[in-house]
Amino acid sequence: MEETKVLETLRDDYAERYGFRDEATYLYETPRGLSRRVVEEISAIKNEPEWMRQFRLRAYEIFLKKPMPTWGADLSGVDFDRIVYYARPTDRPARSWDEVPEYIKRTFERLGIPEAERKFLAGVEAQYDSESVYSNVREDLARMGVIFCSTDEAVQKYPDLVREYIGTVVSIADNKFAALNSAVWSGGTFIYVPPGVRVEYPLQAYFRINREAMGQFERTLIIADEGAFVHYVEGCTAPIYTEDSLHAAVVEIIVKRGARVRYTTIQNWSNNVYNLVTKRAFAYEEATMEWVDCNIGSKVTMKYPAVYLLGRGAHGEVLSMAFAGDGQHQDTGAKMIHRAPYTTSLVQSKSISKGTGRASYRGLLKVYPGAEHVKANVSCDALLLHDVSRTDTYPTMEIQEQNVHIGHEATVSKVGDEQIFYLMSRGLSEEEAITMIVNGFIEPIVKELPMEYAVEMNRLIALEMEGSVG
Amino acid sequence: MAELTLQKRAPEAEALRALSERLGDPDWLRRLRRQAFEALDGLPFPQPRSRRLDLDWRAFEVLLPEEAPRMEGRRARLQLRNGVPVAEGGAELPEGVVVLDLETALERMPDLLERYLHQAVRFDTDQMTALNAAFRMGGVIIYVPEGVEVSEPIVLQQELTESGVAFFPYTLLIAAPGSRLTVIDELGGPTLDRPALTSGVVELYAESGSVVQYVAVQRWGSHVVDFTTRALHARRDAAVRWVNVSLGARLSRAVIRAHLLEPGVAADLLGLYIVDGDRYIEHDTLQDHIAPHTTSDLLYKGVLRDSALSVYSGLIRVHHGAQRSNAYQANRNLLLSRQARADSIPMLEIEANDVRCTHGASLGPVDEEHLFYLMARGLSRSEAEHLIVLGFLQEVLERIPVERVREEILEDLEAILFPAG
Repeated sequence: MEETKVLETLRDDYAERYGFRDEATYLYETPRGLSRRVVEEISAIKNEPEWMRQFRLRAYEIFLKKPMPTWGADLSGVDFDRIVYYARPTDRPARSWDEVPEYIKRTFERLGIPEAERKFLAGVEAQYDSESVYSNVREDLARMGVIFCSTDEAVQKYPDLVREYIGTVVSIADNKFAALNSAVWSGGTFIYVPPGVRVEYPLQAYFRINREAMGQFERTLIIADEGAFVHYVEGCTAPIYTEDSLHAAVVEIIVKRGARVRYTTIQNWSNNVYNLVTKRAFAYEEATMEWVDCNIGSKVTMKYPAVYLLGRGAHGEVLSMAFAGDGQHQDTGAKMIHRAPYTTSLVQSKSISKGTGRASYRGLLKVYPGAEHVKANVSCDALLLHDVSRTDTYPTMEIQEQNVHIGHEATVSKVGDEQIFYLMSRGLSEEEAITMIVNGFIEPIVKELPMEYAVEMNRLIALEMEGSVG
Repeated sequence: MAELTLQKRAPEAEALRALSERLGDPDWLRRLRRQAFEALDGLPFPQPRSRRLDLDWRAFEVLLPEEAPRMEGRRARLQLRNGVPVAEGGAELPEGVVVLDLETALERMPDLLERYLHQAVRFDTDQMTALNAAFRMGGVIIYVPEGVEVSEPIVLQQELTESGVAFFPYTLLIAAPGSRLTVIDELGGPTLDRPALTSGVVELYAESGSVVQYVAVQRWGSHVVDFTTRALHARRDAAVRWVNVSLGARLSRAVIRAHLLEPGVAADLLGLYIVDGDRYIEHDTLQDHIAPHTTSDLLYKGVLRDSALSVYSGLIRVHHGAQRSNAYQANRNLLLSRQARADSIPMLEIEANDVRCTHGASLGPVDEEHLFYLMARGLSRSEAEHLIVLGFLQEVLERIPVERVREEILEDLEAILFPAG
């Protein structure tokens, strides 16, 4: 079939655009493998207070005890003994771009980070392997009390805030990878937005794995105080190696009364990264939490952004887009946990499976007794491009309250011959027709991205099809 | 009618031999029983998803018949009590059509049985199917020869009137190529004081070009813990309507699998369940598209009151190469009380790209606006609720083929949902 050839080259330019590597020299790195000593070393290098050292050690013990998940994607390729848990490229994050070491600067310049910052961002943080190498926030925001820095820096500068919230949304015992992250975490973003402050431009972080067999364990903590608003965008890429890397982040978000947080992820790891991430938000009264989660890269992703709707009238959304190319398994989804009355949630998932790619939607919608007048809707659409492509949908609903309205729908389809025929009869080439159909399919998610990212996403999905029909 | 004395025995190896002896099983069936019995301990127990059940099948006694009357197998209605055929009646069936208890059928058509028995539901699926294969007695076979059309609906009435026992109903339906039939399979009995265990198996074989309507109505007494595994093997161009109605039992877990083996199969899968008190009902469905150009359309609807709990778990699986498959699945639940709960787990596993699959699930209380509308027309609140419930179930009810069956189900649901009125 002609149309099955289309999209075959999508991500074929990954090696050229993102897959390059630096011959980096590290100031410090731990030996491969994990031990109590490695955990203590990481804490010592960071000169952490005792409570954080204890936090790590407790988590390490739990990590040893927790079993690997037996559900979801195949994780048999994860080898905890082969991984480097910590590699430090620089002394401290730079405040101005000029201070960033030359080779790292080159990397991020190739990825377009400084350019993006000049154009439309309120602040940028860049993490290279384990440590943040650059972090900057606009002065006016800093004056209003907005904190935007690496989580390591926050432990030193704002220990009370970090100590109050870290591990409260995602417990260190939540799952094996959350425990691992809690033991060896490094970098990640800390954001605090004071009451009533609206950060009108997105804050951005860019995560880059450079080293082979690297484990990146960033820890992100976002606190939006009452009535605040912030939009945080993260992007991820890595070079292509033969040895697999592991990315196991934990993201905790607290959305206080009346506040709104939007968290956008463009995950474009290379195809040798296991991406196993725990993302969770607590949304209090009248608060809104939105996850916009785009997964294009990685070898295996297991990620189910969650919103715990804890206060009356809270609203949660997950807009999820997954693209599973040859050999990739995107096991993604959403969790909506309704614990308060009059809470609402919306999950919209779109996935595309290409070649032998497999995209799975796995979700949980839970309504606790007493959470009356909940309205929740989950819809999942899957597009299959080839006859060897695979898609799954596993949405679980546990509803323990009667006075609620719950809906779920899922569809699976292919790019229809009739749709292609229609567009071609209007004068489009087959390639243009398929591009248009695929773009239309993901449009509801893409339109939620900041303009620059939407353009990039469309470019990823569409321009790569050039010359692929025939 | 012959008087029956029932002898109770613990389900052990001797009981098994005695059973085979009594029933005069052929060698292959004895072997099958023994295999199933030996496999028992190594097999998983089909634990209900949302209600923990600690159940030891050895605590129940197995029924053994002293003597069973011989059936002709030529009538459209067959009645069994505790696994023993007790009466047949109704219209005369066309030439070659057989409706018989399994024991008699084993004498008359052993080869046919050997070919079909436990092909669709393997005895080693889990402990409950193995128990059925090992200790089953009675059971029913319906056979319609090639090209024969049975216009009268065939009615099976399987009754359990004992408590403290384990009981293993079995229905085997073989629709030869090009045949047509409708079967109503009614399982029921009074509520008794001591618990009973039922583990039923139903195997439906819809050969090429056959048109099969099969309606199972479960009305066990509320002392019964019920497991049932039902499977369909549908061949080229077969058209099947399969309705599962669950009204009784304290706890019921039904596994329903439709295997669409050859192109052109169309399967219409319907379910209706009414649950009250603290009863539990679980449905576990599979729409298994193995061949291309197959269609399955599933609709399961349930109404729950008091602190009843239902679980619906349904998987659409489209195998690699099963192109041009259409599969639809919907589960809708209406909750009449705040303590009632309905879990819904719809799943898709799709390995072919030229397919159309959708699933949907919903639940909610009776809509206040609908109530308001009807009450504004002069109805009382309970009358309005009543009407809305009937309207909700109508979509499934109207697709049940026999008028009498529809009416009896309506009566039952009235009795369960609106006992005062």
